[in-house]
Parts: sequence; C-alpha cells; structure tokens
Amino acid sequence: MSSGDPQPGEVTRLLVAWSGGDAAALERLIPLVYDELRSLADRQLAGERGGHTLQPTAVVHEAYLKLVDQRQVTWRNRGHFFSVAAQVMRRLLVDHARRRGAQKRGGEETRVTLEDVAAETPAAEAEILAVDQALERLAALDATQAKVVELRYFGGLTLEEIAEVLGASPSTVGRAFRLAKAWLYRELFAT
Amino acid sequence: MTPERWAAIGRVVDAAQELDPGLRADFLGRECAGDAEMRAEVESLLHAYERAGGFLETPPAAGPRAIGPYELLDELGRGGMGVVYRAVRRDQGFERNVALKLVKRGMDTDYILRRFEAERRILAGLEHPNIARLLDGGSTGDGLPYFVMELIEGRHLLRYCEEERLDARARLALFRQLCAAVQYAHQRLVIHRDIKPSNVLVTAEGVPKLLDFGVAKVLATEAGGETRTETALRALTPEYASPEQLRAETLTTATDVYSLGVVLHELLAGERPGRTPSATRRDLHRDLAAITARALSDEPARRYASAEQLSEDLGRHLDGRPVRARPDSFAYRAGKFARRNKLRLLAGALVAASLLTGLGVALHQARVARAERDHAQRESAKAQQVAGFLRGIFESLYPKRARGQRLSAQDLLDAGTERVDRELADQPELAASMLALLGSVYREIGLLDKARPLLTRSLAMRERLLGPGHADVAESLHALGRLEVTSAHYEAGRVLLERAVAIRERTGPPTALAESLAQLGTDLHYLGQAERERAVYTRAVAIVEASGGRDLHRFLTSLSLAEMARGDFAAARRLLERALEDRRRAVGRYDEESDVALLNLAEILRLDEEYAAALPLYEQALALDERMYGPDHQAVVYCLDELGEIAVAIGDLRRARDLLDRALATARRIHVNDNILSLSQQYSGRLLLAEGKPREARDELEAALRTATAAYGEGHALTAEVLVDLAAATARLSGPAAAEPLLTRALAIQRKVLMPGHRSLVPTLTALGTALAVEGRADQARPLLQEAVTIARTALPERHSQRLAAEQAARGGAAR
Repeated sequence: MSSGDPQPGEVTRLLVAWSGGDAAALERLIPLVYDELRSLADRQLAGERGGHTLQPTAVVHEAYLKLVDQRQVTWRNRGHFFSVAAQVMRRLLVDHARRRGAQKRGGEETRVTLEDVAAETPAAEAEILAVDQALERLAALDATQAKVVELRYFGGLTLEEIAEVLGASPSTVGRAFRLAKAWLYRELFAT
Repeated sequence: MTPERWAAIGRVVDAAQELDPGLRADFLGRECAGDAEMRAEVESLLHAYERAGGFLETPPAAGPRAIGPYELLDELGRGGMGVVYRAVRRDQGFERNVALKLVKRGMDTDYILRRFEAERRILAGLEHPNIARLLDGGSTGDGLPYFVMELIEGRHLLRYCEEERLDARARLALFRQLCAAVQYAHQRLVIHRDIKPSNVLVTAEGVPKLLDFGVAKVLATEAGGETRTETALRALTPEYASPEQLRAETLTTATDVYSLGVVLHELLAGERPGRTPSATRRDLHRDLAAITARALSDEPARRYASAEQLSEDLGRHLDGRPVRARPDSFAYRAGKFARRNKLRLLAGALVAASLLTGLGVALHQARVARAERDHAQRESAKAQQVAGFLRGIFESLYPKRARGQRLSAQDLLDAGTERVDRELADQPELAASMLALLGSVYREIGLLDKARPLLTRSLAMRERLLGPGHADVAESLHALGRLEVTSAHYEAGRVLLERAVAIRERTGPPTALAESLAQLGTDLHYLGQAERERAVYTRAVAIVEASGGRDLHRFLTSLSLAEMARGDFAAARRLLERALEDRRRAVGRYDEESDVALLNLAEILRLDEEYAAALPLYEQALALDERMYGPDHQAVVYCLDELGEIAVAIGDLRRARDLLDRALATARRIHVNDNILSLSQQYSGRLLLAEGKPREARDELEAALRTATAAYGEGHALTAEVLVDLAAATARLSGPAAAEPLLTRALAIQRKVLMPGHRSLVPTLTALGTALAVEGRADQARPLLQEAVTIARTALPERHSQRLAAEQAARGGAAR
C-alpha cells in the first residue's frame, strides 16, 4: 500500500472490523496508517508545508481526516484509530530523531539516556529518544500509564480525547498521566 | 520494582497530591509507617512532579520558529550575547541558508537597531574571503534584535588546530590570513573590537573566517554615555580586550592588534608539544614570544602599527629572518603583562574583600571536602579552572573600577553568573560547581531570589551529569535546602536536606555529613520538631568531635538551639559558652563565626532577664552583622528587634521606640522573611502596650499573628507566643475575660508542641489562670496557676518576672 493513496473506505472498513473483534484487521490497518503518516510527516519535514519539524498533532489529525470516512465510524472506531496512530507516530518520531542524532554525531550508535544526548543534539530529539525508552520500562509497571503518555506525547491527543480512546473517565486518565509524568521526569532527569 | 509495588506507591502519591502540601508530611507518615523506602519513593515522585512543569504536556517539536523572513532550523551555539541559529530565507524560489544571531534580552533594542542602520552599508560592503559577511538585521516580534550573517560551516579556531594537529607553522599560516582580514577591514575604517578564537571558524577547506565583524561596535557604544557603557562592557570579552578597551577609552585599530596578539599567544601556547624539532624549538619560541609580547604592549603606540605589520613580522620569522620585535624588550614586556594582570586581580580582590571571604571559605571547604576524596590531581586542575574563572570575573569588571566606581559583591556575582553561561558551556561539571558557589554566595548576602535559580540549575545539571547519588549532588541539595531554610520554606528544606543526608551517609566525607545534619536540624527547629532536631544535632556534634573538626563551635551552637527549643536553657547556655570559648581559642576574639552563638547566648540571657549581660552581646552581634552584610539585611533587623525588646523590658521606652522603628522600617523596605517580620511586629506590639496604647498594640499584634501564622503555621510554639501577647493587649482593652479564648488557643498549641514543663508555658498558664479566676471559675483556674508555679520554680531563675507573676497570681487565685 505504499504506492498511491490508500482508500478511505478501506481504513474505515478495517477499523470497524477491528472494533468488532477481528484481530487480523489490525495487522492490515497498521501499515496503511503508517504509510499515510509517514508521507505526511516526510512532506512536513521536507518543508512543503513550510516546516522542518514534525508536529504530531497535526499529522495524526490530518491522517485521520484523510483515511477515515467520518460518516461511518463511531467514537470507538475513532479511538482505535488514534491509538494506532499514536503508536505509529511514536515510531516515526523515534526513527526521525535517531537519524538526526546520527547525522550530527557522524553515525555513532544512538544513546541511551538523556544525559548522553543532551549535550549535542537539540533537546527535542534527545527527549523523544529518552521518553521512548523510558516508556518501555514504564509499560512493564503499568501498561495503561504508558499508553496514556504515548497518546498524549506522541499522538498529541488531549486528556479528554485519551479518555475517549481508552474508554476511561477523564479523572482516571488524569491520574495515570500525573503519575507517569512524575515517574518519567524522574527517570529522565534523575531527580 | 514490581507492578504491585508501583500501584501501591501510585495510590499514595495520588492521595498525597490531593492534599494541601502542608498536610502531606503527616499523611505520608501514616501511610508509609514502617516503610521508609516507600516514603522516599513517594516523596521523590511528588518532588519530580512539582518540577516537571510542562514536560510531556505538548508533543515534541512544536513546529518551526520563524524570525522575520527567516525560518530557524537549529541552534548553532550560544554565548554571552545570545543564541545563534542556522536559519533559512526563502523568497520567490530563492533559498539561502544563513546564521542568525538573536541578541538576548536585556540589551537596548532601539539603540542597537539605530546603530545597525548607521553601520549597515559599511558592514555590508566588507567583502573578504576571510570575513563572514553581515547580511541583515532587524528585531523580532517581541522586540529582540537579531543579526543575520553568512553561514559558515566550520570548527572553532582552537578546536580546529587541536583536531587537525596543526604544527606552529600551519597555525601561523592560518593566523596570518586573519591578520589580512583585519587589515582589510581596518582600511575601510571598521574595527572588530571582539576578536577572539571563538569568533573564528575554520571551514573544512581550511579557510579561517572571522565572524561578527561590526557586531561589537553595533552592540557597544562610544565611550562616555552612561548606560551605553554598561552595554559595551557586556559585549566585549575581557580576556581578549586591550587595556584601553578595559578602560573604556576611545578605540583604534591598535585595539584589534592587541586582541590578535592574545589569539596568537593562545594559538601557540596550545600547540601540541614535541612536534617541532628540538634544535629549533628554543629559537622559535623566543622569536614568537617577542612578537606576541609586542602585539600585547600596554601602550597602543608600542604595538605593531597594523595587523599587516604583525603578519609581516611573523612572515620574517617563518622565513628565518630576524624579526622586528626586539627580543631584549621581551622580558620586560612579558613581565609587565603578567604584573599588570596580577595588579588587576589584586585591585578587584581588595574592593570586594567581603565577597572574597565568602568565596574563599567556599573554595576552602570544597578543597577540604575533596581532598578527602582522593581525586587530588583532577581536583587541582579544577581548582585552577575555578581560579581562572574567578580571575575572569574580576577582570571583566575592571573597566567599571577604572572609571572610579566601587564594585559591590553583587557586581561580582552578577558578572560571574553571566560568565558561567558564556564560558563554561562546554564544561558542565565546572559550570555546575560555579553555579552552586555563586548561588550560595547570593544566599549569603541575602539575595535569595537570585540564588534560587542558580542552585536549582546546579542541582539539575549535577543530577543529570553525575547521577542522583553523587557527592556533588548532595552538595547542591544541601545548598538548595539551606536556601529554603533561609527563605522559611521549611517543609521543602527538610525534603532536600534529608536527601543530602542520605547521600552523604554513603559518600561522606564526615564533615559534609555533619554539615547537612546540622542544616537539617535547623530546619526541624523551625518545623517545631524539637526532639528530632536535638537527635540530629547531637549526631553532628559527635561526628565533628570525632574528626577533630575545627568548626566544633558551630555545631555546639546548633545543638544549643535544640536545647533551647526543648526548654533546657541551662544546657543551652553551657553549650554556647563552650562554643564561644572554642572559637575564641581558635581565632583570638569573637568574629563572624561567633555571630550565631553570640545571638543565642544573648537570647538566653535576655529570656533569663539578665539584660545587662545580654545587651553587650547583642551590640557586638549587631556590629558584626552590619560589617558583614551592610545595614539592609535581615540579620541586622533581628539584632535591632532584640535590642529594642530589651529596652522595652528595662523600661527605656524612648530607646526602644527608636530601635524598633528602625527595625520595622528596614524590615518593610527590604522585605525580610516573615519570621523576622513577625518578630519586629510582635516586639513593636509589646512596646505599644508598654507605652500605654493598647488599641494600637492590639492592631500590631494582630498583624504579627498573621505574619507568624504565614511563617510558621497556626500550630507553632512561636505563633502561640504571639497569641499570648495579643491576649495581654486584649485583656488591657476589654478585661481579662476577653483574653480567655486567645489564651486557651495558645495553651492548646503549646501543650501539643512543647515538652511538658517547658518554661514558655508559664506566662500562658498564669494569664489564663488569672482570666478564669476573674471570671469566678476558681476551680479551673487553680490547677493552671499551680502548674505555672511548679514549672516556674524548676525552669525559671529565682527573680524572673514570670516566676514572680506566677507566684503572685497563684496566691491571688487561691485567695478568691
């Protein structure tokens, strides 16, 4: 599906199928979303839109408008889309940060913690890499908290949208986010 | 950590966040009872959350930033003047990458832009292969000036020479290209004014490019203008600046020749040893030293007349011909150069003696602490760097001094802070040390708001660089904790200091551990936790005694505070006398270090009503404090308060009025901490009462109560004392019965926080018992008055007015 525009109908159909319990639909859904997000992201990075940095919120929402036929999806399908999109966006951002980091440091292996990277790479890239890795550790402690951060930070969703995606109350999401934020901040900045 | 454990911790963090910060400690005490690890974990998470700010709240990379028609791509570097970005301009299909220098806030935008307009044509006309062209300039939406320059992809001069392992000959070749560029500009009457290695980039092709031509002039000014000169000082770089530049005199092309000389010196001194055949090395050295010395002559007239002449002399040297700079004059000049710098250093030192003492002590402590750590060699290199940095601070202020202005400690600190960012960006460890040092000295001179960001930054940097358990992190925690105590943020102080103690328990050295324990004790003192306070101090004293520490007096003094808080004044007095004796033996007199012991001993004497003995101690302390801190400092306010209170007690009301008015006026002017302000208000209320103005007294004491509550909280012993005074004023106005609720409240607080039998209970019990007796509730009054007498007889000296009052009230109460 990397050639040509994906059909809105198809993404919608897969989303609906996945929400209906068809696990296989997800496997076909992810590459579709990935391709679309990447091409949007690439265009943003190439400066077509007058920008050189990724703006996840814009990219994710734009992909949604483009890929999903809004008349046919329920809020729950929508939630699933954003959940997938945030995952994909995370991967894109991390790859991008790695590439830029690698360019700067003459192709050296990417670094593990923020302390290492902070010295030379711009903060945003160092932060992306560090958050990504710390999130994996957090997921082992509390998968929901890690998910909330992924949706917020990489997917650019608001807490209300996240509550919608996860089918949880906004206050539960808020609590999970606060805890995750404290934990991650401490991990990254060693306070 | 397991998920179950994390969930449990999460629940406590969650619940604690719902609580008012003041209630958290108690809550955590209950929730984490017996699980210190959990408590530490929860506290560190709460702390992290507080500091996290907008972290994770917005997605990374918030999109490109644009300035004028330029879109910023990434940051190339930052320095004293501002930040330099790689930027791109796109117009009508035309695209150009440039370097955009954004001038930092605080410089005069309008003036800079006017200058830029005036210079623009000349600067734009500078076309030379070794000069980075200035292309454009303007101001951002929020009023910061910026300059746009040709983008040079390259390495800084010294780094390039290092990395390419250039020998002296190759370095000289590069340098001569710079001379040519400078010469070219001079012929067009443009002086650079800020030539230094970091303003030279060398491209991959090995072409040196001089940056920022004309920028210094635009940012700087003609000599003479008042605020303008200040701007000029900040814009130039003292180590590379010529003497006339430091004196802010009119500049000529000779100024640039001087700076070129400094760069030459650095290029050669930085040359890797052993690369030149040893036979010629000596001669080479003598020639080049002579040339450098000539370029560095103090008198502009004795320098090379132009950059070109300097370059030519180097050419003669490279060709093996005799150089023009006469070797025989070298020793004289080089010596003079060194001597001049030394003098400059000394002059700065003398002017700022007070600061130097602070720095000296800090450095000395750092040295002592570090010596115990067995990094002697690395540390001595660090010490040299620190010394160099400090010298830089003094030198940067030389022009101000040369204009006959006196330097204050704050001048030095401000200059130092600015230089940390400018010069230590690539040495973050050293930068963190300097920030800690500067922050501590700011705190020392009472500029708390300036201290906090520096110490916070130092802590964050060290945690990041060294990991959370490193001894240097403890140092920063300690410094920040101490600041919080000074700022009366006791709960925050406790958290920080407990962390410092925990690290130092592991890393030592013992003296540092004792320091943190003592500081924690001070914090606990204000938190009203007298027993813990005493335990912590006792441990600190034991550590210092065991290590034969020369600072024993300070720890004894601290322990005495704890004893006072417990009400054991006799023990406190013995400790203080021992402390003062210890200090007097060490230095032969009372000095700055004796300040706290003097004040505490004085307070005990005052509370014991030995006013004649207390008075001279307060006067000595006041003189010490005024000398150390100047008249506008809260330590001075405190001494005035206490002297005023003594004057009230001995009935010298006119003198009391004089002292307390001064204390209050200063307190309000310099915004002292609430704990000091509440004292000023409280004593002033007592004075008004003594003056027979109960109404004004009540108003003042109500204000004191509000301030004390803000400083200590409602349930603190010191807040209770203000309540007792307020009750006295109320009783005078409306009779003893009206004072009863206030006294009941005060007594409830005291019963809760004071040790049973504490002498501070005596006036409360007496007043409350009297009030009840007047109301005819003798049954309730009697046990209170009896208790007052019992405590008074054990805890108060025989002729103490409170003891007499208690006895009299008991007799009166019994008679009713």
